Amino acid sequence: MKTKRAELLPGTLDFMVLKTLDAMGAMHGYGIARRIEQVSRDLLRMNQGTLYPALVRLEQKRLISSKWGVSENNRRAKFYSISSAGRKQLIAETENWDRIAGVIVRLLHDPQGA
Amino acid sequence: MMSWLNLNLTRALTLFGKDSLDRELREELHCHLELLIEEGRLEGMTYEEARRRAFWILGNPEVIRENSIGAATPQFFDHLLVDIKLGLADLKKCPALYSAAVLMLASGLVTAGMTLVIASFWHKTPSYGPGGQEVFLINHYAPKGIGKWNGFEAHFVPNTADFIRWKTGAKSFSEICIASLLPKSVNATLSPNSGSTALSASFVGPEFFHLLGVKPYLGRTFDPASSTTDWRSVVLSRKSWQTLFHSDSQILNRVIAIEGTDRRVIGVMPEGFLFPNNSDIWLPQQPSSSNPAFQFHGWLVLARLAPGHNESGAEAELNAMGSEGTSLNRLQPISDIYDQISPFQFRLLLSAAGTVFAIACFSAWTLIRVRIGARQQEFAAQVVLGASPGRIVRQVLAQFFLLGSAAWICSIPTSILATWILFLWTRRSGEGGWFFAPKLYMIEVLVTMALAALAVVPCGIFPAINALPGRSLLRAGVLRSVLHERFRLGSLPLVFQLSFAIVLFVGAGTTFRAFFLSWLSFSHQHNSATLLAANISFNGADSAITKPEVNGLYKKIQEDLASMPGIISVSLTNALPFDGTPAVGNEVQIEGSSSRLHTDLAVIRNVAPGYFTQLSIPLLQGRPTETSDREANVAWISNSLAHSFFHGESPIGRRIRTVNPREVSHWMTIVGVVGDLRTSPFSNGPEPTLYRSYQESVNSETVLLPQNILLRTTRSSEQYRPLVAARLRGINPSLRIHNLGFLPEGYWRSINVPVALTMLFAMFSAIALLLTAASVYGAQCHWVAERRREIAIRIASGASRRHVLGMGLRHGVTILLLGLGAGTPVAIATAYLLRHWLWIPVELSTFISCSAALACIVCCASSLPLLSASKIEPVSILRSE
Repeated sequence: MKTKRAELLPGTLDFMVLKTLDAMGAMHGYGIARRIEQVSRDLLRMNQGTLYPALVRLEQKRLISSKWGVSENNRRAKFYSISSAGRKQLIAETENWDRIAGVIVRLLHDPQGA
Repeated sequence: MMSWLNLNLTRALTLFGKDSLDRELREELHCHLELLIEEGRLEGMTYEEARRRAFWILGNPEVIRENSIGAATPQFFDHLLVDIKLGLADLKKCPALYSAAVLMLASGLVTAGMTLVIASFWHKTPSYGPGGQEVFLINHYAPKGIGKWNGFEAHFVPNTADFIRWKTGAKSFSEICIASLLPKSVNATLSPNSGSTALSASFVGPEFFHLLGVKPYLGRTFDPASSTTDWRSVVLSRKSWQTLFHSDSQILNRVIAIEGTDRRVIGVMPEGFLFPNNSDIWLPQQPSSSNPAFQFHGWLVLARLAPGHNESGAEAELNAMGSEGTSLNRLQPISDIYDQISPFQFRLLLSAAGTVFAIACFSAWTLIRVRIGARQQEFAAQVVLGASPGRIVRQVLAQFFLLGSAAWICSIPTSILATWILFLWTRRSGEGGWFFAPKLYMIEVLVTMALAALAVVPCGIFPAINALPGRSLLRAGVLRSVLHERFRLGSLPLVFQLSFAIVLFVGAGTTFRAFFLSWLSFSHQHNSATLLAANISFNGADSAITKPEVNGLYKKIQEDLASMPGIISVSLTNALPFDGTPAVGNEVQIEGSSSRLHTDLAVIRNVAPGYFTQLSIPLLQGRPTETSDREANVAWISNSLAHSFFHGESPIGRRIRTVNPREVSHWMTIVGVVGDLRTSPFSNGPEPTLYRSYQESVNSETVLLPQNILLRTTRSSEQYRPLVAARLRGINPSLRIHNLGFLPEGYWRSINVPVALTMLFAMFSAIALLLTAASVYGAQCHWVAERRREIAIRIASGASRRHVLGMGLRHGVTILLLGLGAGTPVAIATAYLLRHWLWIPVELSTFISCSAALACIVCCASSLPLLSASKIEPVSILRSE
């Protein structure tokens, strides 16, 4: 039976990019996309191209920074890394996400019903 | 907030680095694709399969790049650029109409900007201002209950005793100083080999410049700390330095002889500083109560409030220190005499310029509306293709933004040109005391820019709403349809424009009529071409000449000049009626009442026999002046003064006197009533005047010598000027003659600014007229274009050309009547306000003639498109449809 792939929730891509860079250090766009797919175990349906507007946006907000380097196939690639402002933002977003997810989980699994 | 600002700033800056961002994204995406292809190849796919898969996973790189750049840059600018490109494309399609709209807006901007610059020049000379709002003049004012006249509250100038009392006793002021009330003409010898030159000198206290906060252009001013070190020095005006000394940079410490006394030049004042008397030079003066020459002298007393004191507190302190007679001491802001334009005139000028600007905006609005009407199909197609109403509104606003910018850019060279014209004009009439530098004023650039921005929004939003297709079910479209069909909103700008225009015309017409009638009356009544006036005084100390000597001299002057061929009559007076000096009111009282209610204010003029005849002042009652009146205590009063005191009763034989405590008050018998003399077109009434024998000037203890001679000649007085000067010098070598010339010269100088205002109003009216005619023409063209098919069908159905003309004219006349109806109440209110400034009443004829002129222009402008419309061939029009 084919596994049903989940749609990416709006506004979560930035959060995932930050988390990936925080966990993995500096990465290029391909690496970030592959990492997100790996972590989601191919359950997340995401067009890899949607990553780039998010990267530009995050860089403008000074949450990530970029530097040109050389990729594993010896090509010039832009490597992104999380900034200290990005880390703070990630902590705040994680707390917020936990809170909301907790509420939803409690709501869905409460035997009394909503 | 800061992060939001930073983010938007970064986005705005990215606009300039868009190409570099695009290049980087292209490279990055290429790398990403290569890695994905490599991944596919490793999984055993062929290159083509791996490439297809890579594109499927990544997406379209072009779209990704566009989305990324869109996320990095503000969308507003992108849309604006597109709208501006579309706007420019439309401008190219209809250059004549848009050029007209730009010129209209530019004319409004130049008018408003230049007016602001001129008004600020007149209102206050900023760079040589009196150093803040805390500098006042101290005056004695008439007690309450005494009427105001001529728009002024009558006041008396303080004398030496007042000044010394205030200087030593008043604690509310940090500095007090004097300045001469009137300028004194002095003879100056600029170098040992040159002849003498007459200069207008102002005598001022040593604290004068320091108190006003004026810095010299060269050198220094009088030292306020010492009243003795600078007493043989002189400060020059910039104009004198330029004209007399040819801008000599070595002027400081140069010695010039003034009235036989050597004085050292210590400074040159900046350009435009001529306070208080249009001065050429300033001489130090410190009045002393022990010097009898100063005992009764009148001064301008200037005072600067001490920190922590206010105006009312200072007035209370001055009044507690005592004042002359019943008068009160009051502070008058120095701007009252420093400014060349009254606050009323200032507001009037700005309102008139604002009206022209509004008319220009409405004109541009009307023309743009015409073009928008022609583009309805284009906008409808855009809506069908998915454009939102906001997109269309934005597009029209962007186009208006372009027009506003173009108008602003056009206004800059025009302003420079106008400034040059003003510069040349003010240099020619430089006596006015204001001087226009030929440059672009930053205030004007900024104000016109702000006004252009202001014009874009309201004037663009209505045509933008108009642009929404009528079939649109959107609210704005429905609103537009309702407003246009039911309430004829489309004609609204034209109605507004016409209402503004009628207000401007009536105001300008009233002003111009007052000025024109006054000049006619002046020229006709006084036959000014044959009048000659001169001011005379004596060399040396005036007090050295005894009264009998003065009497004899005046008698000899009159007899000698009268015996000259071509001289019809000679008269003397203490003050010329048209010399531009504002008349000062004095309290006068009739015999039989000590009540203050029987006291009024009047101008006192001392006149010799023949004065009334010379100035064509009619004798209404009693007898004329006679030679025997020299010793008698007799007086003549003007009609307005007679009316004020006697209310229709005959004043002949009644007795009158002045109650000014500085003059010997003796009763004078009224022997005649004469007509009123208007000395300026820009005052709201005649001056109530008490005429008495010129001997009063000689008998009085307080009034010193200078007298004015009036001559009536048989032919143009110009040719008698040198003859009279030579004859006067021959009578007495120590006699000094100043300002020998036509009487109207002073008159013109005195109304320099009001005349300029009248000319400006006339110019504003001409601009408004042109703008109105152009926009009426444009609107009528639009009306015809909209109804070409209807007109063709009507003509094909047998309608005459006259019928077509009548149909169009009805439309034009309806708008005209709506405009006149809306503007009339405001025009009447404006005319009523002008009564404060002009002496003539506002007449219905002015209003009717202005309305008729406007109606004529509107009808002519409406008819031209209709004439061509009435000649159209119905077959060709219907076939093309």
